[in-house]
Amino acid sequence: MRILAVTACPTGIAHTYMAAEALEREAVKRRHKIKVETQGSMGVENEITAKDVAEADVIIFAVDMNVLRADRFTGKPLVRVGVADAIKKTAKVLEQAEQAATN
Amino acid sequence: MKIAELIDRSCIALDLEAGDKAKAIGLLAGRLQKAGALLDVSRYEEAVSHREQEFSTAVGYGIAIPHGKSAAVRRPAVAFARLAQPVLWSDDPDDEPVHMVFLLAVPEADAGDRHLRILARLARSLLDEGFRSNLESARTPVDVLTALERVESSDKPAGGEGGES
Repeated sequence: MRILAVTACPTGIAHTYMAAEALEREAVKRRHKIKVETQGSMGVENEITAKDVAEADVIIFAVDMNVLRADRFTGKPLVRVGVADAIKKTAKVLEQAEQAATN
Repeated sequence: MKIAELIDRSCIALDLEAGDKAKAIGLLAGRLQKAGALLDVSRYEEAVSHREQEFSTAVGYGIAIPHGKSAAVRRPAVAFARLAQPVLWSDDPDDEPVHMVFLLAVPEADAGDRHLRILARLARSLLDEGFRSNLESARTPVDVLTALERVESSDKPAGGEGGES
């Protein structure tokens, strides 16, 4: 399945990127395709496009703040978790995403 | 630009005796201060503890990455400690005790992205099992520097899509 994720934390120095790495690793392990946009201290990177959204099965927000341009994802199944959950309970977050995509 | 430019050998402490979290952060902040990375150690520690109150920086694997972005920081810097005894990092029952700490210092107005990019890469590399095990088994600060440099050179570029198999 195709997963999109956005990660963001208050200082945007460490957790944003660690959560991105954790989600990427777990998704690949589960044989999903994933793209993670980081909204951190370096601004928006690996930005999710309208085409990405159109092709996606599910969206994950792993954030402790507001997602920039969240309206891009309107209408798609969405799982919203804290950034720490994406790091510490990565498998559980991916399970939630799999469920949301198939519901 | 390399991680070695952000972490001074004097800011690597192995088997550090720290009774609790505050002590661990305080000892590492002291190392950063001595290395000339901070303008004001107590204001920097305030920034770190403020960040810590937003939510715990324990990230699993017995690792925590407390960090402070503050005008009290002179230049971006990292300090690392492996603790002699694990310490409790938060009241969260999900948080296991922490025995390895990366303390990050970032100036309020950082001139560019280069340092932030290195810190981001460091954060990502904590998911690398080989890197963690090199930190666990390091016998000297130089071993830690070697582990950091190795993970840095083998790292994939940030971003990009994961493969589908």
